[in-house]
Amino acid sequence: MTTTEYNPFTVAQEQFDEAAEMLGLDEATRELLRWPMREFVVSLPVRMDDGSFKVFRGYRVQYNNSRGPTKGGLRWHPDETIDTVRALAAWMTWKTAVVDIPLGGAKGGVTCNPKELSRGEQERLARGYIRQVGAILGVTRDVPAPDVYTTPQIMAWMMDEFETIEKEAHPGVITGKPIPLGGSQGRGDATARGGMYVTREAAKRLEIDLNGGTAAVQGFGNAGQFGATLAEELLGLKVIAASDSRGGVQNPDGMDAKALVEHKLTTGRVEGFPGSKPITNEELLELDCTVLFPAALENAITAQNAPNIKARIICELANGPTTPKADKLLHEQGNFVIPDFLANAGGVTVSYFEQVQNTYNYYWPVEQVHERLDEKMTKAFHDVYDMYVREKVHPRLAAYIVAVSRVVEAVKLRGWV
Amino acid sequence: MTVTNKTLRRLREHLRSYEGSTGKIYRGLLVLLHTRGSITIDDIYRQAKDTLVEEIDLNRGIGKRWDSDERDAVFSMVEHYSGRYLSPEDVDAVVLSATKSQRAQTIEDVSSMPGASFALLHQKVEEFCASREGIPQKDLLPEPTSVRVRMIRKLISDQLEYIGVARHFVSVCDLLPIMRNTIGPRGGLGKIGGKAAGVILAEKIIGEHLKTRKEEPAFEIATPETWFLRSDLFVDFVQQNDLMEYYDIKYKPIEEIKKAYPLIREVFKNGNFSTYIQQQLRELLEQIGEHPLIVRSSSLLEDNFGSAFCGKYQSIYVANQGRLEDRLQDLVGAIAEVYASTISPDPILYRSDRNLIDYDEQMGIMIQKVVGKKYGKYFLPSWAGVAFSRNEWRWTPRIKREDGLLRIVLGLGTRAVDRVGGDYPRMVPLGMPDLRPEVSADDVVRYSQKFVDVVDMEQNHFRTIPAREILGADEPPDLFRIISIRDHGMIQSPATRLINAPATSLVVTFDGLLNGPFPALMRELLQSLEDAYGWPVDMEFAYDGEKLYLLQCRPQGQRDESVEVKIPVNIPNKRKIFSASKYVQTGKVENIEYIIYIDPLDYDKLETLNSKISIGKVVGQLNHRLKGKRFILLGPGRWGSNDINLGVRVQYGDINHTLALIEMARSQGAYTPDVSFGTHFFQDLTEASIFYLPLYPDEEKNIFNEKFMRGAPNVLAALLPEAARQANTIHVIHVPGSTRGLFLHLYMTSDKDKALAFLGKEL
Repeated sequence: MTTTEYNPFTVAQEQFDEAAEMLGLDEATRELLRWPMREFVVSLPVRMDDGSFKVFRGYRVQYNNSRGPTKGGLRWHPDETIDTVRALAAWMTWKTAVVDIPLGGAKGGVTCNPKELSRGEQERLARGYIRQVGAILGVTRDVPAPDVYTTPQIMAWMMDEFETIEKEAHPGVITGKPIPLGGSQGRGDATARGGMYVTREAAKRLEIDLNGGTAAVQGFGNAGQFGATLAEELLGLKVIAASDSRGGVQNPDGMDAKALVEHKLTTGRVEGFPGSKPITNEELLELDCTVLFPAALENAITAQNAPNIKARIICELANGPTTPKADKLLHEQGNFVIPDFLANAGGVTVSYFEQVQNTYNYYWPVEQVHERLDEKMTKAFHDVYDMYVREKVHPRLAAYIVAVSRVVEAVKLRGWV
Repeated sequence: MTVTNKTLRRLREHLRSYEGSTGKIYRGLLVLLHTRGSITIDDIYRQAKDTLVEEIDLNRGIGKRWDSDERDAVFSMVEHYSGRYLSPEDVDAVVLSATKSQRAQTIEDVSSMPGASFALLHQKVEEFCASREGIPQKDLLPEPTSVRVRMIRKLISDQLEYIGVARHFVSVCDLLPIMRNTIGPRGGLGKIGGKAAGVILAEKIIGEHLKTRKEEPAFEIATPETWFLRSDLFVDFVQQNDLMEYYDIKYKPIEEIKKAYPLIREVFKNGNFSTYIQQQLRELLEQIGEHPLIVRSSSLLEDNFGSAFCGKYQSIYVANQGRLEDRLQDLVGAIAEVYASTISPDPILYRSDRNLIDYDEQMGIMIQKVVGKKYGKYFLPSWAGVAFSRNEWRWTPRIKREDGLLRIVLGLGTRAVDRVGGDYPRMVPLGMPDLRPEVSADDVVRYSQKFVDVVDMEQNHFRTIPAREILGADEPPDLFRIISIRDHGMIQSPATRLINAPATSLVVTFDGLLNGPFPALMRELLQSLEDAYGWPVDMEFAYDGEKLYLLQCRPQGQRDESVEVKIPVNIPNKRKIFSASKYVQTGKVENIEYIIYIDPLDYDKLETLNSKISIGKVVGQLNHRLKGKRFILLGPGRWGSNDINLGVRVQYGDINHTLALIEMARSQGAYTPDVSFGTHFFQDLTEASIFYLPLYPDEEKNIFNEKFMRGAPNVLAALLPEAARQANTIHVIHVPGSTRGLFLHLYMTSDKDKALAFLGKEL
């Protein structure tokens, strides 16, 4: 077991530094963007079911609001620390900037273990959080959303508490709400769908014909399942392999993605899918295919297996599937990586749409959500690809450069630095 | 006076009817007159003497037995005063009580007769109970405990612990409905066995408990209609079909038993009952009609305190559809198969481990109507499961062991009782019923029940079908309380009974049921059972949409956790081999000489089913080879799982000599492994005093000394040359041989939820 302290915020700062260096940022701008603008740490007393009280520690970090109200998820996790929240708030800032939506980046969290909290306790914690943090939230200030271990139900309680305090409707104070309370159509598959749009655009630029091409999906949770069906539906790819934590299946002739999802939902696994042969997670990554969708865990692609990767496009539906060393290797080998914070930005984009619809109090049909998402993702991809071509850097760095320069532009225009 | 005349008339009628009880009746009236204060006993004696004064020899002294004249004189005095002071109803009560005790006397005599047949006992119990019918409880003479005890021992169980509890709850007349539903050879006597005993007792305990409740429980509680086959019928069956020769097999080596068993089972299945029994079974089926049945073993060893033969003997479902003769053949076949399971390898081994092998195992059988309803062509209960009064499945200290645990499933409870790979019952800590280790919608779906066990009424047998087939049926069972709806990344209980979602969006969560009064009721029932038994219990239950049925109840095996264990400090890091910090039991395993280690990653790499199966086989051989040595087993995931990808496939017999079984769970996101706690397999471990410990080597605070575990010399080939090929996956470490004479010690404490295995000198 490793004992070295991994500080995610230090990693986030290093990634920013690399882009800042490329952009030749001045010292004050670097210093401003290396750190969050505001941090809130709150104590949340909650009455537990047995009558006792427990005090939880809550956070909200508003990293940068130069491009608009901040936006970012709320995490409920026992290992939550201010440094995790800071790092993720920074990543949100770059993510909203890379897809060019008029929002800043934030993140929040509560150090708690939802596995140990009853439903009633979760509700009291959610409402308590809003009573403490509500003053800095709002559709024009900062808009939270679901993240690790928080659910649409928790968002609903939070919105209700906020509206109770404000004594008027504020559906846009939070996104990821249940649809009957103002959630947006199309949120469910938004992450995977956004990934498909950028993959489609990547293929165009790389002159790869996707129609009849092949896809391998590593990880078969929410993003992986939608990824597989949409790859078939939107891109005309044949899904030749898919895996979950228990193992994988492959069929060089392609598998019916819908049937595979159905099989997974019925049996809890992809394994045993009729007409398929077993394949390990490791073998799947190294398959000869047109597009590889890593949709499972961090660090799936490392310096060890990167040389064996044959996929032309790697679309990172999961966060952080590629280690920095592997990133460079893949770039040199000519495998094109669509970096996570661009590839999976479909989620935050539809969250933004939810906010917009809430503000107008007018709701779009799902087709319209898809259309606008396509527009945003397509534009974002080409901005990054152009930068990749111009600066001859690996795509992740290109995406960072696009995002950071947009934020820099905003802070400069505002006259902050 | 008319009243007086009536009273005397009534008395004389009674005296004519109960000639043999005259003395008792007069004595009863005498006591009543005295206690009412009408006239004292002394006065009556005196007046009686006065009427005989001339004839009494005063030299005879007082206190001697009366002669007949004296008695008649006293009796006529009693009659005189009864006529004056008592009502006809008073006389009735006295007469009843007197004749009853006369009957009690008879049942007492019969119950102590060693040769009394079941039929005779039955007849006496019928008479005895008829005599008590209609009499208010307060007027009934208490039945002698000795009679109860003798009857329970003759008919139900001779286990002292059981009788000790049962005699407080089960009266002689409680036996009557059981006796009426009992089948056995004419003139014989046998018991109905442990499982039946458990149900009967639990029903009574719960019945008594419910009387103390101020309000009716939220669910009407019942037991399914049940018939019993006495243990002497088993003997009869064995003799009738010349099966005795197979009984010696229990003394043969286990490998031989394993080999021979399939044949034995076939021979049994083709056996038959006498015409008399067949006729009884035929009548039984006529009475029941075409309702599915479950044939359950109820052996005399089963479900005793400290050794629950959980899942060892078979229970077989019969759909019981079609022509009477076909149904009869199915039933007889099922009974015979359950009989055969007395000599199947697993129970034999289990018994031999507990020095029960010489016990002349006899098998009673319980035939229960399956609880449930017909949905399309399937028959199933709305939900069913097993509840434990002690919860050993705790993922947070907030869950208290004594609050109990529920494993609940849609459909037949078999999926909750047995371990089924890849499918999950809802596990409910009864103290905090809505707590669950899964948080995200994906995880809730993933760890939900996907398959349902049912009786297929068309194909005439037990089957497992996808849950959606039931959830999508026209009128699925208790849907509102069973399912949640998955929609747009959310899992939600239906807001109303109008459920419009397609079956593909329905997830079995039981959230609706668990938000109601059900968990509190289950906790209450378990508590009352545990209090009465003086021992932790588990019970199986099922709900048919109307009533909550108690199917089975038995004492839970439990390890003595009262010993305090301190985890040693100051152990140098290089001597620490592994540590754990979750779900830890309390205990010490010292001086471990061998470690059998199956590396989870290596196991994962095995590609073929056969190669995985072979690992389980080698473990079984090692278990045999190392019998008597101190060894522990470490391996991936869930040992004993039916799903070979979740863990090494072993049966109890393959691991029974290990001191500890350690399940290694490699971390996979939010995944909390369905640990073995609460399953039959786990109970086996508990009862065999095999420690169970889950290990999470990927969690930072835990130690796992991979260098030692993988680097120490592998002695597999030396121990089992034929298994040398598997040395890449199975590492057998001879601890002193790899450490210059040190041994491994494993200390565990549930108080702090910590365990440490370290190398040290022999203790």
